[in-house]
Amino acid sequence: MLLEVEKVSKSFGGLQALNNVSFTVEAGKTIGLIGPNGSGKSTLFNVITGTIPTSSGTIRFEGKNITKLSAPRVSRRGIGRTFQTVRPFMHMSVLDNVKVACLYGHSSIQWQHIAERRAREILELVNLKDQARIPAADLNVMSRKWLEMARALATEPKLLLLDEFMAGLNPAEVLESVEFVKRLKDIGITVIVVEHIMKAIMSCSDRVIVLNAGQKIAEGLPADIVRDPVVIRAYLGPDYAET
Amino acid sequence: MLSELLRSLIQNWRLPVLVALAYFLFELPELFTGWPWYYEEINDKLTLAITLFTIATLASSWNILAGYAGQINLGHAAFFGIGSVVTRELWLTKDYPFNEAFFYGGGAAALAALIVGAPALRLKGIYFAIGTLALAEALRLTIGSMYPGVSRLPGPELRAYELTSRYELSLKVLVATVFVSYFLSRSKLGLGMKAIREDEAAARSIGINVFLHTLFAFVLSAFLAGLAGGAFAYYHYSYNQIYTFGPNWTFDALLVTFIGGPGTLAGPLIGSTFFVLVRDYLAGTSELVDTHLILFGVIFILVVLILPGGLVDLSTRISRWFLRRTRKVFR
Repeated sequence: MLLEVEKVSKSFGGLQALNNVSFTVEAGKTIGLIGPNGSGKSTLFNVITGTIPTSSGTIRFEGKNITKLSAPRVSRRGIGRTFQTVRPFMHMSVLDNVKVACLYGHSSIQWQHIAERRAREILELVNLKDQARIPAADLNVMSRKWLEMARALATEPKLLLLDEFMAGLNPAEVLESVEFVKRLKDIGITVIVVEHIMKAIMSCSDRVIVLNAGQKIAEGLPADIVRDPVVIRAYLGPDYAET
Repeated sequence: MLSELLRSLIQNWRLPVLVALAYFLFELPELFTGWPWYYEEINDKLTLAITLFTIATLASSWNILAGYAGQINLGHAAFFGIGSVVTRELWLTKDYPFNEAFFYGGGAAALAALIVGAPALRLKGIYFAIGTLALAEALRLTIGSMYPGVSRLPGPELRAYELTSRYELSLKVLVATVFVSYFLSRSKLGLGMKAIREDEAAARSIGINVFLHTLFAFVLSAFLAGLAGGAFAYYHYSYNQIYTFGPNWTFDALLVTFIGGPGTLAGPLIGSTFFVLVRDYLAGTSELVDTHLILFGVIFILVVLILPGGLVDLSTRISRWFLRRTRKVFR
């Protein structure tokens, strides 16, 4: 197993954001993580990546306990992420945004010219090669999202956590993003996708996990999840089930 | 092709220009020997240059932590003061050779930053700024009690005193600071620091250890400020030790960095040149002598509002416009 999340809980004062959440992720699979707003999806990403500590439970990555590791060390182990609200390094060039991730992260390339070459390759992958020299602040929202994807990929993650990457995109852009996520699987990157666009989740996920009020309420194949009455009641709603 | 060549020239012009400028400044006192005004005005000019180099060094070193790593240190004067007091005491009281005392001064400032930085950098933003300000003030009062008198150069040093060697030392410290900043800004560490300045959470998510990077920037910045303090201890033949701990050293560095352009190599240099020359001009005009602080306050507000990237940003905008025009002409 690449990732094992075992009885993980997280509380903020009196608010139980995650409650005994357990699941495993097999290498090479794409997992969809869905649930209503406030169900704990982003909190789960934050505890997996070491951004915030767990209250209890264990997280293992490649069989090793990473529960207490800080975010930089988790990144260097090979877990990359994007953020729900895009956070590029605004006053750095597009190229430097990606190059700095090549120099740190799991890749930790030691030579700047090699890091720069690698950064350019990744920028080509996300169609930002022509904007390499401009500051990230000059990009539009869509390009900023792709820059954040490029930055996460530059760390050479084995596991990539995408937090609502497709939010705010038009249907054509969503389709493009889904195809990109599928390509990630082809190059051996395991992905966990948090998304509210069900069509996107269904078409790119091998398995779907559903959270509600900090608890895992369902897990299974996409086709089974959309028919699950518990999921329909808690998240999808009867209208979705009828369509 | 031509635009690529122009771009390459624009991007890599800094190092040769810096080397040429440093060489020119080292040769400057020699070049002016024999000029009609030389014997009347050379000491005034050298004093002005030493003041400029000291403020430029403080601003460039302050910029390493604030401009690159994004942490505002309001206690920079403490490290300048530590450098000066340690150098002066070792050199004049303990009879250390000056060069040794000078490096011990820088080292003591760096050590102080390491001791203070380890807990203080757990604080962020305004809390870190206020913490460093409180530390500098506490240290200023302590030094004031420990060394209440005026520190004067003893007879032999006073008889051998001449300004050219003070000019050269201040310039060497500035050149070292600028070159450290130049190579740091292009290094892996420098890129990591800039990423932290932009967004700490995002920087952590790509594997950057925020605490170690900011601590390194803090210690390096303090070491260079300590060397500036050592050069100041060598330059001044008579001053009160508490003087180098004054908050004006911190706020001058902060002011000129923001006027010139924070987070850039040239910003602190341009800002301090502008600041020192205008202040000198106003000081020479009796009716405006007391207005320079008000004037710089107004300039600071205007720059923050209109030109947040400082004077350097203005030149970048102009060069970008020029590059666009050139491309159009050759297309």
